[in-house]
Amino acid sequence: MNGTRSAGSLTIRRADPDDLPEVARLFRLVSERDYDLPTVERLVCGLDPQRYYVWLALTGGQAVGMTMMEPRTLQRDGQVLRAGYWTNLFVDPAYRTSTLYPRLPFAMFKGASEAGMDLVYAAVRRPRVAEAHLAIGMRQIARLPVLAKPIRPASLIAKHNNWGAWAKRLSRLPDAAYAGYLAVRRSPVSEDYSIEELPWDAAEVRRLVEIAGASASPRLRQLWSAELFRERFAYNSDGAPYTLVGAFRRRDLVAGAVYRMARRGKNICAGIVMEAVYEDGEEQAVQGALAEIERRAHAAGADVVLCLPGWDERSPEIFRGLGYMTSPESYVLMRRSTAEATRDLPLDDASAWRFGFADHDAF
Amino acid sequence: MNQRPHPSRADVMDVVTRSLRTIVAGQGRAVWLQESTSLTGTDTAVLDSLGMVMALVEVEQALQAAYGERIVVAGNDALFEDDGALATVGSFVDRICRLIESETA
Repeated sequence: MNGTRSAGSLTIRRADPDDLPEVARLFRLVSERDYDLPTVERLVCGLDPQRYYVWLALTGGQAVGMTMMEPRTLQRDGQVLRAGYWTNLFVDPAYRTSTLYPRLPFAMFKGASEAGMDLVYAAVRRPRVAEAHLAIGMRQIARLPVLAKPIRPASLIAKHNNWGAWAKRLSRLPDAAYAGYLAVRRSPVSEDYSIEELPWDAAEVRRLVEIAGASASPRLRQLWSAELFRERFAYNSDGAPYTLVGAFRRRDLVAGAVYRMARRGKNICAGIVMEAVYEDGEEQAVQGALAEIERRAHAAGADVVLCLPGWDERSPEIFRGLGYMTSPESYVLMRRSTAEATRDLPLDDASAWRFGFADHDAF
Repeated sequence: MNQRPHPSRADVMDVVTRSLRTIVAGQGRAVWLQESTSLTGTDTAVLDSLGMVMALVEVEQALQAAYGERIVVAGNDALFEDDGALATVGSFVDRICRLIESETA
């Protein structure tokens, strides 16, 4: 190979629905996962110009890089902001030394501004990528630690260290003993509460969205309606279903949580707490829902349960009270203003945002 | 008030090569740098695109610390549009010199 793989002969432009095959090909190439065209089409909303933004770098009609942004409406104390959430950046490995990065994000920032968006924001786990994004003009809001609760600790350690099948078999006994310990240690939920799975078409979804809105009112958050909430949890790239667990005080829904299962690197199986909401003073109710999620994740074979509890100031303590610990992973939440109006808004602090895995769903 | 002199091309070359070496060393490698060394777009380029951006930040900071020059390099989208500017160490040094000139003109 020679110098022909520079970014000079490339064009960067907004993708349209005709580009779906190239977008899908790049998805497969960079992610090394076998995404078929319908899966990618669903992920990017068919490249509907109102619902998803993708900028492609093309050479000779072939996509060699792309950056993706999901439009979102954010709200805080009645103030509504139009935002773009930076979901992915893919560069063909053959172009790793080109200037596609940062040309693609620069094109995205410009496009977001032209589309009337107030800001672009992102959460980035890989430290080197986060550092580079900050260098090209994103501004750090906060570093959000991922909390983790190992529920099969021996299996988790064996997988993490690539100890092989023999270690996995050996881990069954200590993990079974640990599961027994967790079951004893888990506080029983008060008889005042009942915990149950809710179907996504249940009327209570509307109440859950109201609770989420009320508890987060001073924080900038996604503006949900029951319909948008259902739509959000209808699909993900892994095809793993989302489950909604509600906590009722007598007949009233007072808390709820959403989770899904994910298969991570080294075949580590994780339960992911996507969202947790509760009425004021109903911490015990949400703890009951989270305990139910833990039980279900264990039954589904999870090694660990993960959460990113950036919902309010009490959430981290609720999870720590349930035995969650700070994991080695964290996300850098960052933003870039794309409109004059948001340049000086006091948004550069974790307490200004309601942010969790429902906002960033990639494992 | 005493103003620091603007850096000469040789000074900028020194800053750029030191910055590049810092980033490359951070990746556990060493590199021989000269004017013709490829920076981007080839298999022999010394850094990938993320490393390149970090090197640009190093250059920004080093120029400000040594000469008080405040120029935007990593966040300068025009720099990346001009593919030749980052092709080699020499072309990058020339571009930085032009940026300094335009900032002080």
